[in-house]
Amino acid sequence: MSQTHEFFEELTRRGHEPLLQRVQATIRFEVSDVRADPADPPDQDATATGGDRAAVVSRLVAVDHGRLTVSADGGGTAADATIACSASELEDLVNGRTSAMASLLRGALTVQGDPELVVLAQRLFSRHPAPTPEVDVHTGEGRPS
Amino acid sequence: MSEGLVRILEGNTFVVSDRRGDIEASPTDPGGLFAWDTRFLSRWVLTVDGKRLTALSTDDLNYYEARFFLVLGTSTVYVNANLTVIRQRAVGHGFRESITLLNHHTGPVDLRLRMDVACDFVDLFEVKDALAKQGTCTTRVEDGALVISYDRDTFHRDTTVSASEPASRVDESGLEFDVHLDAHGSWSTELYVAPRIGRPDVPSLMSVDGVGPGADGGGPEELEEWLAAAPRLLTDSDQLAATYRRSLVDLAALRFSPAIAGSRSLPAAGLPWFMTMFGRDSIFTSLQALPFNPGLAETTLRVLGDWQGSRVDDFRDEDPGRILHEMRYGELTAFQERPHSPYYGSADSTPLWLVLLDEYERWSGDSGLVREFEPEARAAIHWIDTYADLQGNGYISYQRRNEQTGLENQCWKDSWDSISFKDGRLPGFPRATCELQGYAYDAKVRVARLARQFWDDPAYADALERQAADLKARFDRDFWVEDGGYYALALEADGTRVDALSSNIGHLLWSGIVDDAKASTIAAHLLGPRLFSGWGVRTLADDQARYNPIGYHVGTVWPFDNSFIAWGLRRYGFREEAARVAAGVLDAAGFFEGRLPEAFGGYERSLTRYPVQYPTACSPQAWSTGAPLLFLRTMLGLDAVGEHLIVDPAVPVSFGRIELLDIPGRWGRIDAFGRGLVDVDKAR
Repeated sequence: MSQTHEFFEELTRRGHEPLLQRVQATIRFEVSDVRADPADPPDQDATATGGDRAAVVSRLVAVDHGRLTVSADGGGTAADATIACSASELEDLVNGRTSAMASLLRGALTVQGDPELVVLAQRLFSRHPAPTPEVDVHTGEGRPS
Repeated sequence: MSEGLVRILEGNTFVVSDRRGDIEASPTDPGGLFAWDTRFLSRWVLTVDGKRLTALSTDDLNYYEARFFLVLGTSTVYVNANLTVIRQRAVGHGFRESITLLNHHTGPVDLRLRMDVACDFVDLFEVKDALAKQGTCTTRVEDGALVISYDRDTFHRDTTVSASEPASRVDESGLEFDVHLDAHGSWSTELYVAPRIGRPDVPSLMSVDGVGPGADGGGPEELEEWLAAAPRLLTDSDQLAATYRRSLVDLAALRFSPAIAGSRSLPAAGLPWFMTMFGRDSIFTSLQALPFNPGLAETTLRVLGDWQGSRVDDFRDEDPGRILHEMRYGELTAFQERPHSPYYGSADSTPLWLVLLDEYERWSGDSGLVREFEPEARAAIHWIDTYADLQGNGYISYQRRNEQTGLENQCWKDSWDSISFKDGRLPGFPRATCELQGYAYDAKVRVARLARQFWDDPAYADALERQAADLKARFDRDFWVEDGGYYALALEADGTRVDALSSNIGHLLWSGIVDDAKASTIAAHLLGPRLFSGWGVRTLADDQARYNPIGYHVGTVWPFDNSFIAWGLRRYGFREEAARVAAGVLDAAGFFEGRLPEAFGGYERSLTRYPVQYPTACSPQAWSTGAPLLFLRTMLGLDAVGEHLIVDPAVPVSFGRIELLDIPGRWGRIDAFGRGLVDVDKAR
């Protein structure tokens, strides 16, 4: 499965993000240049280009006091913020190789709507939220290299 | 910064020019128009018929506005005194500049007015290092405007220069106007310089579109509103009144709207090079200003809370729950050549954020914010207990993981030699400085209150209180320097006490971690001859090996440091001692026209008779600006208890009467009065 699809799958599995408890908003993600992978779910909503598999994957992530719902984006739903980037930039964000601010400053990530939601969206990118750190803080074991 | 430069600013946009209004920056020269850590204009030179102008006078009308009166010719020979040129510049998002020509001659004249323009788009950090640019600059003329762009990969910045009066000619290096002036006639145009971040087809996060003050609510009316909203000070001391006014105006100039806060603003660290969000500086300044403007604290809490760390990232020294140290917006940050996106390498901003959260609620009664940010507050406590406890010994300590561009000392005394033994040796890492433990103690005591009162979690509150009590007992045992009678500056990795006598013990009083039985010994040290210079408490006692009266953190007196020491002295009931510290620093302010510098020399007051300023490029600085405000609080003994404002004055005789009217808070607005009864000279 492409990392883009994996990211949205992970959000669906997570289902709840305690650090977004005070957030009630809908965020649209528009991820471009997604490389097709046979394991990807069929994309009825995505923009097909030249008969290929989806090149742009678009998802709506609804946050309701921490509860996360990921849905295919028919384009009709208004979002409080739209975050757009390439698939490789999203991978870098999820893997911690870059930060949302660096991407924004570089112009590799853009946001329309409420910019505060980009800041809070970083809590979606990171897979190890604060309350249960999965690294041994004394030895550093488990830290990404 | 040299005397001859004129600086104006609004938010994090500032313009540095010479006294004629001209900018001729080199890659290493600090002149120009800067916004969001990028230089958007490096050349801005006005000529008339190819000749440079001479300044007759330059007025700093306001922090965001300047006016230049110019004539042709050199300063000794006025070639043509029949022509006056007036430039008036106001900064906002970019700046606008009106240029007016006045002909004093009895006949008409025809002139060629030219503005040379160039942009180098250097990152603020590059100005110091003179690094070569990796992207490309292009220049084009579009609809009578000059557009200069810089592109590197997806990174785009541009500057557009346009004029209200169409230019006669626009070329790649400037705009030209053919001007006809009748006898005693005048002519004027207005130029606009608009910087932009990001490609034109994409909405920008940084509000740099639009030009001029008022674009984000700034300008004279807004400044008057800001001043009017602050409590009014009536005092017999003209000097204190002037210092108070100066502090309020400077604090207004230091307000800064980070990219995600909408129109809300928080205190940036200092002008002009530190017009950005710093965890520590923004929190300390918000604490100092709380009785005067609680809005700054609210924004600081929200923005820093939003940006709280959420992952383990060695490059940014980020951990889940950690509050940031510094945010930057330039090219080096964008391409991760610097870690400030944001950088989290601060060991104190996390507990201090919790301290501010509680103190803010005590004053404002804004329990909604405390409820909203409960998850962040818990994550911050969790950071203190886990990630910050590098050695598993129950103390916050620091050691950077980013060894290339990270910060070595992650406490407020962040210079290389600030943490030393009495004999001058430097300890290894990790380091657990004493004030960090005080902040952690205070944070836990305060969060326990929040948990009990607002989160309905008495079990968590009990646990925090138990941990705090345990920390206090351990701290007293592990940090106490028996033969000196004070707390050690830090613990080394193996638990050895770093035994220098420093001002940090004053912060311990502020945090309440000092054992009651030892408080008077600590107060005696702070006001004793080794630490107290007469102007204030030195960062390091004058008999320590590394003491240097003009050493950055090893002997100078910091007004901000002293304001928190005074608060600490009051907390333990040392009213006269607190008044003495306040009087010393506020007397010093008189020598700086009410604008306290970041630090001044630790020389004995009786020796120099005036405070010797530490050479620094950063003035005003937020927490120095906030210091007089906190001194007013400590002199009047203001505290928020329950629904009430407590007033318990201990005012130095020299200030006479102090009345602070309309202090905002959960009580509405209340006045406080104090009379100068503390003879600080007698105590000396």
